[in-house]
Amino acid sequence: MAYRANALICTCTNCISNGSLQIKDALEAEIEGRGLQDDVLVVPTGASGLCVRGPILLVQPDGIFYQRLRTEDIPYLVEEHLLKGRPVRSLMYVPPGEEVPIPELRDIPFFKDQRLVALRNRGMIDPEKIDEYIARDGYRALAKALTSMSPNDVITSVKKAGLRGRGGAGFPTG
Amino acid sequence: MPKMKPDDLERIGEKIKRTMLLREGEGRAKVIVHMGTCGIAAGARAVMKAVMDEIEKRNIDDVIVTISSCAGLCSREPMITVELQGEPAVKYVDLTPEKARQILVEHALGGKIVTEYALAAGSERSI
Repeated sequence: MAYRANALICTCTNCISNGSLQIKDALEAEIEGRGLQDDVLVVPTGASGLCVRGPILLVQPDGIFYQRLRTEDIPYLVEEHLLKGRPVRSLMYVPPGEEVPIPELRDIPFFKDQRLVALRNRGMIDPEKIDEYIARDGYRALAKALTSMSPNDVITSVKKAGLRGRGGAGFPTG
Repeated sequence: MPKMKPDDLERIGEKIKRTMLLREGEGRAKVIVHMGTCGIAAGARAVMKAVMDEIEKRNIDDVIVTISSCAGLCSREPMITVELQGEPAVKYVDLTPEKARQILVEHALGGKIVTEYALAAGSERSI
């Protein structure tokens, strides 16, 4: 299917407790009501980290970040942004103490300086659809380790990565 | 479920590559359909559907289609803007679904500007 927009709605525990599942239902109903179901895909995602401003919605490919949504905001948002291409300023993120909204996620200070490594799929894929994980290179490292690396190569590269974890105490892996 | 092999990862990823590209907001080329009220009234939806249909038919997976609002030239709608990575954007005016298909093929895929339908090169900021 050739969509032209993805509406990524955060369905982490925090956003759900703030009503994000109702937002998702309202989005789907409004999109369907406008006949946009072949144009716009609604995707439930995991947390992006700014759930204090939840429920959160990211519209791609535009990169527009919406926050503190209520179900009654949805008809207007769908008509303006998803039908007419006009992002809705009143639903965007405004930094504390400021007045001007920041439309795009990548310009928001909280996200701007993050360099995602292990969490690069956060907020980008539906955690219940394994194909989406695979499309973002999921399991590739495992496939590479099993088919083209020796056990020693694997241990060396895990050590070199400096990855820590194992039970949360920060022990080095490998 | 049969046992998976490493090659299967490639195949599974390939199936939804286009959707994931859209989600990442990056494509080799971007086709922006202007969807202000003026655009919609002049037939922008049919233009967009034609572009999406052509993408589907040709199984193109490195071009994304998106919408934007009125470009400020309502009398020349429907309009689209084509952006190729690293090149100035080109705006096309007075479109029909057929012209839009031609632009997709010749410009977004072939890299050649369809001067016949082009208004100007550049986005609002640069013209």
